[in-house]
Amino acid sequence: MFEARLTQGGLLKKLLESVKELVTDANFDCSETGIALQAMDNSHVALVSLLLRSEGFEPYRCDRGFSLGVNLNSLNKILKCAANEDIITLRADDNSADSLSLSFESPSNERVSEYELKLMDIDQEHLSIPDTDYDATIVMPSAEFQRICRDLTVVSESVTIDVAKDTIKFTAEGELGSGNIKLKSTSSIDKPEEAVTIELGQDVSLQFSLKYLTNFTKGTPLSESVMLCLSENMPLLVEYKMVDIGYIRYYLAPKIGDE
Amino acid sequence: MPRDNSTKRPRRIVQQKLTEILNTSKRDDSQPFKKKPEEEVIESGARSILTFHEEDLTPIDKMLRSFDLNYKYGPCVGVKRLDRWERAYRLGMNPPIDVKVAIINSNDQLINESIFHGRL
Repeated sequence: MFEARLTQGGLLKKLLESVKELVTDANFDCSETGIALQAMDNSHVALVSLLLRSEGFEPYRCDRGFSLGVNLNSLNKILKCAANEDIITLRADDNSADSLSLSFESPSNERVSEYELKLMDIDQEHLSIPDTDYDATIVMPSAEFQRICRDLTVVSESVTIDVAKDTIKFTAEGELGSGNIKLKSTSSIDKPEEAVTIELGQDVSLQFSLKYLTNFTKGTPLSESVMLCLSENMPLLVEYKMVDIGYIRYYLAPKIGDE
Repeated sequence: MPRDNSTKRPRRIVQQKLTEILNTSKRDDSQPFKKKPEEEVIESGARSILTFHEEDLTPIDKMLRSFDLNYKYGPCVGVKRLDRWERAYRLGMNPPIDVKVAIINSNDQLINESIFHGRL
């Protein structure tokens, strides 16, 4: 028996919006500790990993670990039928195993809608991501990052991110010209969500596809700030933390010179 | 017009794949929600259903015998093992690849004959 009741149903809606562009089918791995999902995009360039801890649900019950194979587009369609304020309950019975039931309650309890989503068997590869001490860790407002990605897409398909002591430079060069955006680290004590902070082990300069980065910024509504972690020879980590419940992490392989 | 400017530079820039940087592993940490059908046991070639009088057989012999005796792939009398394997494969039944490998790699002429060869 699996049951998870989420009071802030809007979160699940946003979460699906931020994943479905990147992957079509994925397994939700449910266990006592919470719900996790890891999936690579078709081209094996990017990976999304999300975690919803059991503490974020009220109540949460999962008797044994199992996976729910879901077509994310279908799930997203069903979740569109829920209002942002609705309380969403996910339910699955591990014995009669082929569907996930979702129910949406309006806060005043006047309306209860129930949907069933057919499940599928998905055979997925699992990437093991080592715990890394990244060379550079940046925290910045998520809207700012979204804007940078959107603006630089005008110029080029890829962006070079240079991190030095207290500045981050995003550079794009394309056929029509070039552009760059520099951000200085700031510490606004009264508004920590607007701060840009840089933790630097050593200078880093890496190139990434803007198409994927723009895709990652679909996570912007989930969090005020975004964390970028960079290291040579490692995928870029873009993380949006969801207060009290978990996170969504995107990983992106860099572009490298082919010599 | 393709906007892929990266190819026009003297040094070509290529997109790396995550699988080149990180290790992949088949997910086995959690059970699949739907259990696989039970025929899996027979499928895994090396495991034999017969366990009597097999003390002197090699694992390969055992595997080939269990392949012969698996009715799923049709009768084995009068058919060469490789032909029976190929037929099963064409019918989309996923016969164990180990069987084919074992037959092909052996120098023994008789390995292609079924378990009943010379006994009927």
